[in-house]
Amino acid sequence: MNPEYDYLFKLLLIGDSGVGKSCLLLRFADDTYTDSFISTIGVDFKIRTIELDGKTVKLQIWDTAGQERFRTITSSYYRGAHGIIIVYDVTDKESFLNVKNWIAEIDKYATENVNKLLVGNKCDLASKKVVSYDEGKELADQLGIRFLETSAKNSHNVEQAFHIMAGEIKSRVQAAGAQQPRPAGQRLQPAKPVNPSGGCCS
Amino acid sequence: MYTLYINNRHGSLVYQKDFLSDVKLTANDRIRLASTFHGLSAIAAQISPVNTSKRLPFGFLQTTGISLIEAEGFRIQCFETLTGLKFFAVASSTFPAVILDSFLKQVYEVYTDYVLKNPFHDIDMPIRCELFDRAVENLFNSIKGLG
Repeated sequence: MNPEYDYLFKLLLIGDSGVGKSCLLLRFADDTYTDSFISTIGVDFKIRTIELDGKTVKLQIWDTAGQERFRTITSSYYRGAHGIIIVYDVTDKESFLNVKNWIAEIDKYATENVNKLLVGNKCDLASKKVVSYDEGKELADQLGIRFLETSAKNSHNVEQAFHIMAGEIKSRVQAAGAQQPRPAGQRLQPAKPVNPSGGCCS
Repeated sequence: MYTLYINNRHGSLVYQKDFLSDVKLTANDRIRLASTFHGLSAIAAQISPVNTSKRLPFGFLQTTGISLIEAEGFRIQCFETLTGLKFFAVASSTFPAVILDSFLKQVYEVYTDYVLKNPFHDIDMPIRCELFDRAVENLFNSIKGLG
């Protein structure tokens, strides 16, 4: 029967231009890596199928352009995302400081209970690192979201990042399906005879 | 008519059916194509210099995206519901547009009958429903001689 998967989740990657969103995705979806920088135009999709608790889940990852000039387009992609991964570059303080703006963007456009994950990319570049693990962790705790440091280059934590996300979304989606609030409704009672006295014709 | 797609209101593919046997697209290609169409439609709505939806009474109910893409040899026709679902089909350019339009609306009808009323269907998730599948097939069979 059409289709051969059970769930299709919409994940979104956001963050400043050049922090490595597309590289993370390339690593996760195709297990490759490239050093060259190609700016994403508008949005790009990658899809990977994973197995979660016996269900086939397709993760469709919407890789948005970080550049400001694409912002009006990318904001329209936030809607209906199941999960959003905010990426910053651990060698670039600016991109870390901008995480707050990205969060504001999410609050503005995305669904209220969307799953979020903060990712500090390029953690292989230890010598150039300017944002420490603790700083990242502290921000994530403040925002009440999970945090990971990754490296798309040596594929450190990349799988984990997406699997954590997928697991959280699946349990949320399933919970939403199972406990939809039932309207209180009115309980039907056995019929009662209408009091016959007092009618005008009696 | 070649193929039918249904996107949910967030631009993810929920249903797809080919009416030709020799289509060589993977499941991932289809998801990518469907979401690209969603993106195009969203951008197209922003490009328009006039915003008709604001001027009309109940204009906010008007859908604004792409309803037709005409190309050499084929046509993509889309019916967008007020709830944001997109039913779109790829057909040969000789296929009558009126019939395609009514086909898409009829698919919407059977969608409400067999998918929305299916207690096991998760809203916004891929449609796996045999009755719906069959109903779409029947609809297609009733019009396939026309184009």
